[in-house]
Amino acid sequence: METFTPFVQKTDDITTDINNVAEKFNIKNNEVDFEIISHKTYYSHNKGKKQIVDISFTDEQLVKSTLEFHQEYEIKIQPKIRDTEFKIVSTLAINKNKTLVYLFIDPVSVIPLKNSSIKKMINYILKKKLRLGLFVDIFEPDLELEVKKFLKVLKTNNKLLTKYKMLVSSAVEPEQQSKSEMVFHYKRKKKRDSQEKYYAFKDELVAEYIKIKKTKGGRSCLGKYILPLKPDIVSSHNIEFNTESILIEENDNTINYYANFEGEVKYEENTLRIIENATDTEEEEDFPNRQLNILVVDDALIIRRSLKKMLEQLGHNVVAESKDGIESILDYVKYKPDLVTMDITMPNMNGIEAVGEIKKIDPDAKIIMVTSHGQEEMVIGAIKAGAKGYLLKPITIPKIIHELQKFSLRQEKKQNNSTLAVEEDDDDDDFFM
Amino acid sequence: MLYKSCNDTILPPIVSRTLSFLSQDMDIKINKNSTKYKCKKRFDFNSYTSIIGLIGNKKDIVIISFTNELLNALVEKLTMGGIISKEEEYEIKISASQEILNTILGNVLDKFRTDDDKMIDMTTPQSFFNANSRDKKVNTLSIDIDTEHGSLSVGIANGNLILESQ
Repeated sequence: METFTPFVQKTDDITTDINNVAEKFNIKNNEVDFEIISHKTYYSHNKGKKQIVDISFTDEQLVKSTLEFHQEYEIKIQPKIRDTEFKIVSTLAINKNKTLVYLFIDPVSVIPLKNSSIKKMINYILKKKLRLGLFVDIFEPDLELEVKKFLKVLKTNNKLLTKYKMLVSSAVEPEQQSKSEMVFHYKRKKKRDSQEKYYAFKDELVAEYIKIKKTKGGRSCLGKYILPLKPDIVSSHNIEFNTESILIEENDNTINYYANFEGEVKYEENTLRIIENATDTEEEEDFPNRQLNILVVDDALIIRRSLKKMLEQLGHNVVAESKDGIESILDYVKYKPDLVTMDITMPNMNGIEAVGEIKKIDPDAKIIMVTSHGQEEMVIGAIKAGAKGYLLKPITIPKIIHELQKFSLRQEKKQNNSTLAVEEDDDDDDFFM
Repeated sequence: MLYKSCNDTILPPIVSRTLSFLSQDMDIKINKNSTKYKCKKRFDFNSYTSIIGLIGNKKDIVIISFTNELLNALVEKLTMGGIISKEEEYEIKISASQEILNTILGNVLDKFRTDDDKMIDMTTPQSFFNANSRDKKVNTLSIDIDTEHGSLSVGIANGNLILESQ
């Protein structure tokens, strides 16, 4: 791994900036033969007046996805600091080989960069299979380790990401704060907290690991594990995931790492290693990563819109929206979607009946139920009728990705077992783990 | 008579989930000065109100009432900034109001088990614009939550609550 060499540089112009980056890090000309596929800076002053300052692009679809993706970011300035509301200031620059060479993140505030923002960007990078090195340009020196941590996760997850370097640009004028002062302050802060965090982290991980060993009978296992870790602990220690089947969800006090994989869990020193067994990546990629045509069925307009936006953001195509069970059957016949998301409680015909009817028409139909807590019995009914999974409200992008990954694992199981389809009981177990 | 002497066990989990829904799921900042429960004989409705009835041993009505500003912000978050036409603005707000209550209540429903450990059920949501209670003396327990985008009231009322849109 490349070492980080933070230095101060004020960033104004993206083209100049990339050239400066290239010069600073002795990048050869062919490595920065890039196209800026998205350069978006939009913000609102005093609420509501959004302006797109600059967008330049060449790949329309990629830019569309990128912009939609960027709308996930909403970074607000603390009122005391600045009476301005920024949405996102970021840039992706990708060269002709779809190599991400430049990633610019500017939260423009002293508010710690939210894990979720970086994670979303990383998920995007992984999903789009962008590769090789990237530069991260951040405005806040305090964000350096935060970004570094996630780049590490990115590097572990994306085997094609071979190197990265970080450029720290300070919002403070260079002459007011020197590089050495900046680094010194950060190191001192870290040292003060580290010991306490280490022990808390170790105890928690060991307990979790033992639990996994006991319940799953060894290091080699298949299943879903939830490792709840406090964010401050995670931020100062290593968690290495050698698997792409990892999902991260944040609650108020914990970050849950969902590992749905076959492989090893190891704990050594202060590092938890989750190592996935080698798989045929082409097969694994097929279902969740290719663009799916999806039929969204829900009587609530807000859910239809919300799901559509999220699915499109993940690169899928919503072919139609149905408001009830009867409409869904007609739309299924008309559009033959790869996947259906189905509400349970709807007028005219409920979701469970609709699943049964669709399965009569197409036994291979893939249907995911959308439900609230408290409807587990109805979900079981839907599964018996042929549904293959469920999404629990409130629906989030990580939940959707997780559900699609479960499909991927089942697809793989089916391909490995050429004579028998996966038994329905096995599927049921997956749903309520 | 105050609502069950204000010792109700239903509302706190609902309020707790509402707060986490707003702050975590919707990333909306909650103002800190809103933690007082109100036992009153009326409910102070905001612009958009949704109600769901509990079925089983508990027959309370759960109410959530949003200011227009907050519901706008929630719709924008839920649709991820998607463009909403004027024609569907009202429908989508009503839908959002219902779904939010449905989700919040659904998420805490398993905490309200009956004496024989059965889960209680709930009705489908109903919504009202500028709601008005026909009975002026309905016992309610409620809490107002202020956010950076406006406020909402969450509460419960006894089974006699009958609402109408103004």
